[in-house]
Amino acid sequence: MKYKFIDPTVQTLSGTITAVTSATIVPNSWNMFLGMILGDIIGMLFMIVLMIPLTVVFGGFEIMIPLFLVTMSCGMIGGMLGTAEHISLNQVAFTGALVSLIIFTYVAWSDHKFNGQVLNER
Amino acid sequence: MKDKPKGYDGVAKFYDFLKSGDSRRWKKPQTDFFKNLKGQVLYVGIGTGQEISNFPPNLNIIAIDISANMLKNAKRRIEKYQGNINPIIMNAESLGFADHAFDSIVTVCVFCTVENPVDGFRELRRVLKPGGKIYSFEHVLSRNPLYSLILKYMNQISTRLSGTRLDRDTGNNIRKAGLKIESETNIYQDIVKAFVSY
Repeated sequence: MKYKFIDPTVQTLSGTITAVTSATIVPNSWNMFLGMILGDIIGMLFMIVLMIPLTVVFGGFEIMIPLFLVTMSCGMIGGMLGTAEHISLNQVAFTGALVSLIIFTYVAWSDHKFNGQVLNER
Repeated sequence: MKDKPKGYDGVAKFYDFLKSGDSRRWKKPQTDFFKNLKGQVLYVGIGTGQEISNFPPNLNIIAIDISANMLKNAKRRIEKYQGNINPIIMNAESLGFADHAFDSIVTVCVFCTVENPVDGFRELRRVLKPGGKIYSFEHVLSRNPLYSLILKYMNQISTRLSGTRLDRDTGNNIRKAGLKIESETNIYQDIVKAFVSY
């Protein structure tokens, strides 16, 4: 039961932090495509850095699968938003949180779909 | 005995810490899965014995592992178990037991580390009594293309760090070894699975 709260919280926070960091690092003089590329690299670094402590505490695959998708996507989106002139960090944080929640929901739905017995030859 | 899998023996000191999240997460599904264990039990790849607390009490278990360091760290849990566990250093691919010696065989995340998984399952088949069951709680490569890509990417890291492969097709390996899968249950996505075979 506790993981129903922990899992979305961990993924949402990870995505928000990744998006905000990415948007802060990417210079807004860059074009959106370059921002997305640098954001992707930042997302990948965040994935590696966050993966180790989070999987140790909360479990391997249940963290790894959504975290990979969340950090890569939020890194790219944060990088793209970082190149825009009229977007605040609060808006970037909200976008990161929203994207993370959407990804987490997809992964949780997919788990629900897979869960249970797939073969019983008794 | 073949060489120890690269990295596996080396992480023995930190193994409990590294696997603590999985242990907490999988306690209930493992306890449910292991409740049917009976008779003389072979526990393949005991590691530091994190699953012992999920076993029903009063079993007579022979526990093997390829790593002496892992077995050393399992000692506390072995002593605490309300039953009999006899730990032995042995490779799953060449078991030193007579044919048809065990009623139940347990593996937990073992066939991601064993060098030749099909040979390993063939050995399990050899030592399993007629009517006995093999209970395998293992992670496998997902058939979902997106998850499969992630696992193949992470496999590059985990193989180097701990010798753990994330791209194994354990269901197919069980069949290739001449065993029949009685049931296959998804625990997380189609990645973490509980197989019962004979």
